[in-house]
Amino acid sequence: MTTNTATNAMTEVKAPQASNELRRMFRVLFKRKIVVASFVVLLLALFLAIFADWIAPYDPNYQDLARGLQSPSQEHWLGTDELGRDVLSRIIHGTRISLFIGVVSVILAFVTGSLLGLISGYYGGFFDALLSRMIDALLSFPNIVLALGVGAALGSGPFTIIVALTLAFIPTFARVMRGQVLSIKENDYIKAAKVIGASQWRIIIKHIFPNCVSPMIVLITLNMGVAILAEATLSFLGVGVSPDIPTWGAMVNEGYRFLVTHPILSFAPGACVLIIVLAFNIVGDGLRDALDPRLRGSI
Amino acid sequence: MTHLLEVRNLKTVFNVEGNQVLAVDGVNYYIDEGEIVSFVGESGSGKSVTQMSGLQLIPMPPGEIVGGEVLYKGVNLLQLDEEGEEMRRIRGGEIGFIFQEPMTSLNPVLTIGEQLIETIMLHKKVSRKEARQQAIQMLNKVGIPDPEVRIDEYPHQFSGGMRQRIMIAMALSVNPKILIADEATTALDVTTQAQILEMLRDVVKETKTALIIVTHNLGIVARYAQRIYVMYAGNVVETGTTEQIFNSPKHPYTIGLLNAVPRLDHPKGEKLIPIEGTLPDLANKPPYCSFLPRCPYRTQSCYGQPSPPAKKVDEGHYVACYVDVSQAQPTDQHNALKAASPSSTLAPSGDPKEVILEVEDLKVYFPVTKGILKRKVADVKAVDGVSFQLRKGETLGLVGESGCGKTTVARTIMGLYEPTGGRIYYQGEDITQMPAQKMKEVRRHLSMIFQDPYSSLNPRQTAESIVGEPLIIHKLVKDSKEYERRVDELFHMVGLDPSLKKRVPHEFSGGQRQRIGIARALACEPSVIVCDEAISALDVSIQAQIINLLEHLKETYQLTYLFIAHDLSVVRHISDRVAVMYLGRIVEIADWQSIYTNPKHPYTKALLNAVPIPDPQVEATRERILLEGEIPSPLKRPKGCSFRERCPLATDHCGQVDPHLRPVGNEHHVACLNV
Amino acid sequence: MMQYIIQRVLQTVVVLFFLTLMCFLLVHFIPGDPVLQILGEEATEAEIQKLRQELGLDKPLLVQYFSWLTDVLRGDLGTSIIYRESVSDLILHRLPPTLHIGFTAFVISVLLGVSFGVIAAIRRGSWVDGFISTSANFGMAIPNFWLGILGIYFIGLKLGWLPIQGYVSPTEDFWQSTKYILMPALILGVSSMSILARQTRSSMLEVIRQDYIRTARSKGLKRNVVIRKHALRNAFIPVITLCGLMLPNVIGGSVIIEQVFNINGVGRLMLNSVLNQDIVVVQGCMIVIGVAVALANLLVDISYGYFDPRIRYK
Repeated sequence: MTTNTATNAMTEVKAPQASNELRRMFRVLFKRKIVVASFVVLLLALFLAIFADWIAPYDPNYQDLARGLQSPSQEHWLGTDELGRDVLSRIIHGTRISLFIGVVSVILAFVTGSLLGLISGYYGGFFDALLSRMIDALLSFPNIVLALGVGAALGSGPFTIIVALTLAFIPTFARVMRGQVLSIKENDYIKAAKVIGASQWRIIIKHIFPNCVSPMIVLITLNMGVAILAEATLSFLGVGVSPDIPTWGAMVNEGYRFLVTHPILSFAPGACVLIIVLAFNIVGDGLRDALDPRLRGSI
Repeated sequence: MTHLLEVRNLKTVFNVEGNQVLAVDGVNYYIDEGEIVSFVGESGSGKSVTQMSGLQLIPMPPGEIVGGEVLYKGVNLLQLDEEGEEMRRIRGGEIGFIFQEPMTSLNPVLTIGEQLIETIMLHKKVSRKEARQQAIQMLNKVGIPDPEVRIDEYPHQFSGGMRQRIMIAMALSVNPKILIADEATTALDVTTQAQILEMLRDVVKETKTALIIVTHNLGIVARYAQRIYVMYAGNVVETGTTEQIFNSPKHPYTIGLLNAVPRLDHPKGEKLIPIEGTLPDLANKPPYCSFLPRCPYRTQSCYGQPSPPAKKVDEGHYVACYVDVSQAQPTDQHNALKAASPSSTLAPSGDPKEVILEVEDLKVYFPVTKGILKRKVADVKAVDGVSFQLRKGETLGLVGESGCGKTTVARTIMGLYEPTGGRIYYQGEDITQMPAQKMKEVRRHLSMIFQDPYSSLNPRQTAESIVGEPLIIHKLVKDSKEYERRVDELFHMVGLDPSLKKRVPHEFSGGQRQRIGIARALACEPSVIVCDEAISALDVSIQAQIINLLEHLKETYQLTYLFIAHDLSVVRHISDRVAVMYLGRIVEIADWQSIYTNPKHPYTKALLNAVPIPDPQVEATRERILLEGEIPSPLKRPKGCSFRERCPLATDHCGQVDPHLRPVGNEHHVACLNV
Repeated sequence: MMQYIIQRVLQTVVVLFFLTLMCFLLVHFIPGDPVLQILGEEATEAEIQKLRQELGLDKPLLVQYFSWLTDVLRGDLGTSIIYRESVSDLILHRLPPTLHIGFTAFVISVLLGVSFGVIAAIRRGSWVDGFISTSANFGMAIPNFWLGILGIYFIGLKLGWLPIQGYVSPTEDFWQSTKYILMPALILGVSSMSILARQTRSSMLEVIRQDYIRTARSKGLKRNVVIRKHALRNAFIPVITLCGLMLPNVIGGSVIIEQVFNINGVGRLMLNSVLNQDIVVVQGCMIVIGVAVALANLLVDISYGYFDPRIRYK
């Protein structure tokens, strides 16, 4: 170690420990084949989302009314919809919005929710009581109902969906974080830190927060699945991002009208939602077991 | 002759993350009708798993019994179906079990009556009404007051000691042939422990039940057991009668254990002889004797031989060791330690009259609130008027049972709690009123060592970062070079290899973790260290290491200790003066000789009497003074003397006057009206 | 216990305050002038004034809230902008199918979910456990609108076993009505059932590890007595709370299910009002749903206290 100040020395120390922990975690995580498979699915989805423009065989919005409602064929693997758009291309492009909404809303909810939970758990008192009741109030609305309410107020669009889902996920993050902080606060190492004169910020940042990270990572992963599911649902209901952007939920809805003759129009995009949400759930469960088996059941 | 229970070559493993942990490695033992047999060993010795394996009570998986026989009245229990009729008749009906944790061993959602009645009905085939009658009788027998009423209460409405009595009632209610008490009194206070063990012994004597006491406490063994099995790393290393084991121990580990515990009846200056090193990794046991790496008697030939078999040294006395300890000499280091006694603990360094820390009429109350408006309805008076002086260079022992307020005193001194009243002076300055900035400066000189080596270290910090954090907070180092140097120095001071400093806490053993905690406490070069039960979570062999380390550090760096503990033998060993606390107050304070040889307060007397001494001869001559009842709640302190209701000396006068500490001798103060 | 109940009740009152406040503020979140938004650019000044007064937008916010709250407490949720009808009447009218399906779904999901969870825990590691755990994983991940469509296609269209669209009241024809709600209710219950099965399983496994279970076994009790009497009662305590938490899940799902199966319930009313920008109706629906969930949670908490003697005898 060749840093100049002792403070730097403190932060550098972390490296070997983190790599050790990570290696152990990945070993446990990838011991089960299903987790590996789910991880691959997620990577694949990410790949599709990024390179959709190159991978998709057709422009997802190119309409050819003459070639509407075609059955799967060599040219159109999953057929075409009533406007003659290639279903496969639309599904590939749909990955983009699904992942985008899922990741952004969950990260936003994590930042706000865990900050609120951290403060409320650490300081307790009036703020804590107030926040807890507000969270209860927010949790009284089902996710979809809350999203519809926000949608009614703000009108549809990606921004609305992100706001609505963020709002819906804040309570879970805040609650879990608060519970973590409350239990970690009881440990003697927090008392030890106070005794050696550590400031409150130091205690929160160095001693409490790092010990809350594991359950948060698990919660983030699991909630991404929930967020993607919710986005698909809203798009299905017609209050989603926008008619111009291909989304899986909206595709299921459009295809619903042709269910009797062309069930694949609904089946295929819905299956994509199922697969990706399942993958997030399995990886989330795997992470929970790998990071800390004691968390089982608590999230 | 067949024994009531005979176990042959029992082997139990636990499969943990792909590793096979050999918890019980070929154990043989037997017990006869009406006998009291004890299994002694430290954590990880396999003493509890041995008992549970026989009744197929270990969780399977991950546990697995891989070999051996458990013969009960000639029937091999391991051949029986784990959940079959026959096994269940024996488990519970013939062999009863009492577990360690009274707080979690009873089902919280069923009344204690229901839990008792269900057992009685199951094994005795009597009507519910009859079972209830028997349950009440049983509760009465184990000393539960008002059993007719309390039988319908839930476990959370009883104290820990009471719950353990209920567990005993449950196990004995069906007249088992054997009762296994697995660390049954470890979680209890010493006076409660004495009450329960005496009661247990009387009951098994009366019912002719054989009793197996599983414990790490040698004192209990000496007082109650007839025969002993000493276990280490899954093996029985020595067995014999209590006299044989205590008077002529033959295994180096047994000898080590006996030398590692401080004793109430031994001369004070004696240095403890710890067993160096730690328990081997049970997942990768060496092919040779598992105690070898720690053994002071080891020879070169031990390495070449397999784990030693038991060999007979006397009638009924077997030892698993190749070396004859009466012929061999322990290694030099061992001798050196022995020669080093008496240690320095007798003479406090520095001016004996200089007071470094003074606590004056300290009161710490925790409000009890009720209702939505959080109206204060009462105070838990955890500390209710405590005064004492800590003199430079001395060790003041603060003893008492759980709930007496000793830890609250420690934490209040360290600024973790706000005092409700009173003053704390550090070198003459009142630190309760000090501004924050100045307080930080003072805090540097006051330091603390915690009880639990697991919860007192942040699992996400490296050892280096834990030890070095105070240096950074108080800006005691200029640059990273000095920081590194200081941290290495601190590691050396507590006997840790600095090359381990990048590791995180869970990569260390319990004893090593405690050393890290001590290094952290030393980082700011404090003058006073508050040791809050600093050794009570450790195994005996490790305890001795840490006690010696603390004594050595005190000597080298002129430290002053406030040593808080419930173990009176340890306190006697380490302290210059001792204060005894009861229900938030000091009831007696004096130099250690006066407290231990001439205790005045009836509570101090009872407390000392309750401590079992690891020597069967001494134990045989001691008479028990058992305290009645339990410590009252600090919520409702009785009027007058709070010890009055349990006190043999109590008079009517005690109910009216609150006794204050008064001098009864040279620096000896007692809060009692009748001595 | 009494103190516990009072405390919970007061907490619920605070929750209801925040909840109504959120619903109230919803209207004020609309960017720009909500009145213009609702009426469109061509509205006359008189129309605007009228609506403004109707919505109470001409007074200070706090006054608006309390006068609005008084109305709500009296059961007056305002007037729909589109239907020109009382919102309370609208909701009341659409309530029966939603309650019927939702209640059925809730009961099915609690009964089956908890049973499956217990079975999986008892037979831990067996194929039964594997099957239940995997199904629960799927059940949590499957979009219920899609599952509904699958059901309509295969069970309704291909096999013709159950009707696929609409609702018949049980007072009209009980048998017919049951046929109509069976598929929507089952599909609505799938995700809650899965969550409950998983959580019950892990709660059971947690309890089985406890010391008192070892005590019960050490007494020689039969395995199924240990499970029935000692493990289940303890495992159910956290599950009770969870059942309460499933209620919003079921209610939220009914918005989707009613859309897929073409049922005129509250969910559909809310969705259509969102699409029609009928904010007053949306607000009304949210209040009814939120209050229902909050009160149900209160009941759950109280029963929780009853089942846990550590709270009952405090």
